[in-house]
Amino acid sequence: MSSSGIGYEHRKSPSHPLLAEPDAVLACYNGRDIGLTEFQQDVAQLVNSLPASGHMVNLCQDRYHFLVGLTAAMEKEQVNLLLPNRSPDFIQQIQKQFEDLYCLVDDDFTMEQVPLVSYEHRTPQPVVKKPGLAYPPEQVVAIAFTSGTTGMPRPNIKTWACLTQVAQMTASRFNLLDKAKGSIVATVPPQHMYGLEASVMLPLQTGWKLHAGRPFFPADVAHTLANVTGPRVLVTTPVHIRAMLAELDVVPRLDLIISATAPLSEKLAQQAEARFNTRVFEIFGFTEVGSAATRRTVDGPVWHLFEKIRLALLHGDNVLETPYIKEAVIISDVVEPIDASHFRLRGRNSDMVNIAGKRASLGDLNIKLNEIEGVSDGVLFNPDETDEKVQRLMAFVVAPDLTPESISSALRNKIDAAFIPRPIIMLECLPRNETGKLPRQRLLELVASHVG
Amino acid sequence: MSENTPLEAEVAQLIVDTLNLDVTAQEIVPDEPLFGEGLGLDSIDALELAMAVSKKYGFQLRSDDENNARIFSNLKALSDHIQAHRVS
Repeated sequence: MSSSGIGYEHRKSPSHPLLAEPDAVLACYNGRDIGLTEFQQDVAQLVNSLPASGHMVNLCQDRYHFLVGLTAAMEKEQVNLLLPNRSPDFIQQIQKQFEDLYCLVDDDFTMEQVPLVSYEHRTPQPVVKKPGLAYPPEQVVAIAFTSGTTGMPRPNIKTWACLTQVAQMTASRFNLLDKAKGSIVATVPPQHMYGLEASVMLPLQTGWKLHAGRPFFPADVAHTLANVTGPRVLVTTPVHIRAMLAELDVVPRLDLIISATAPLSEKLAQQAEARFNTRVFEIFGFTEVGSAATRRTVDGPVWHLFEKIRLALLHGDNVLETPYIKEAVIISDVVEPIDASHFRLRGRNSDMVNIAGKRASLGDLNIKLNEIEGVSDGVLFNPDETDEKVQRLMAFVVAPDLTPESISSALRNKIDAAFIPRPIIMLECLPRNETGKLPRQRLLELVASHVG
Repeated sequence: MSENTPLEAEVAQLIVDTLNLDVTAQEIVPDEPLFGEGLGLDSIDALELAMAVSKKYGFQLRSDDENNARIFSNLKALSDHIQAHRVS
């Protein structure tokens, strides 16, 4: 039986920001404020509708719905499975490991052979047990999946301790606890680690208002910011910052922009700080460890790790040590340590693909390409990231009976749209060497001969 | 295959140029889906397109709904929207 709830609340969090005032406002949802009482009612009602299962796949598009779902799952000690996308293939793959999974949805998503619970069908019932705002530190709140090089998704366990400590360190680093509290608006999905930490856990732990929407076009972002109470924090990515600079001359007073998922150039950060009269900070993190370090981009290349995280060298690898993840976590980006709390980023390792902030293993993507029926050989090429337009992967494929469109179509069910190669170049054979390898030099020559 | 109006042809060319697509503007059918299936564009493309539309036609694309970027389903819908809102 869970030890969450009112009793635990009193023991653990007498100073929780949301308990500081009667019915503190938690979220801005469909243009109105939601207080703690209403939130707790929503959670209790959703709890009544959940199946007895160990694992929820929370597909809610609305951030407030997502939070209610997350909390309801925690109340029942269910684990939230965070998938990188909602492709049926991927969900089916995960279902092999977690047979009892079900999806919580708040739109018309459907899928065969997976139980669905609709957020709208919460069971109205008097609230018997008020959900608490604190849970046992070791309770597994979520499992975040990353694509491994071997083609099998890798699980990363996130405990309550892990998520709350990261949120608290983030809040402290950005001075969100001292000042007057406003709203946190995000363009990123709550299912992604960055979104979960910066747009769900961060407001929850600080008493800042969680904005339930997910504005998309720059004009949407400006409109949303204009309609939330300040001060305003925008949680976003370099792709969106670039788009906002291209389209918006001005935004309402914006106190902080947080960017993550891909490197932000100092030039874009400078432009954003000047145009929007704000400060731009970046978070460095990755799924395995969560958010780990920050920098104010315009200040230069040095990253500052959060207080409880240390950079160390272990068996020749740069690793991060945290109090909330048992093993040291290998950093897959290439870092240049300065000391235990500071580093510079030197680039990515050759297996990592980052397209508009979405990450995947190149090895895994190559496996998926070669799994397609009709593909006898294929390879993906990853160009260097730039500040300019998002560069897609290129593919060279040997598949006499297929077209590029049919290959794209087949990939669409297997991988996130961001990684679908463009262009797909059909060849009679790949220039592999005698041992069957495709040396980088030959791949580069192939690319050069096909680029205009 | 239905013929594109002049604006549809121009918008189709904008799509091809902006997104570096392998198809020609003529190959984009007005009622074929742009996103997901059909042309297979995604949300990254939608943002790029929004920037290009803003630059060329002088207005900003907006979503219908706070949560779902009501990304214009096909070339005809996008062209009609541009026709209605263009400033330049």
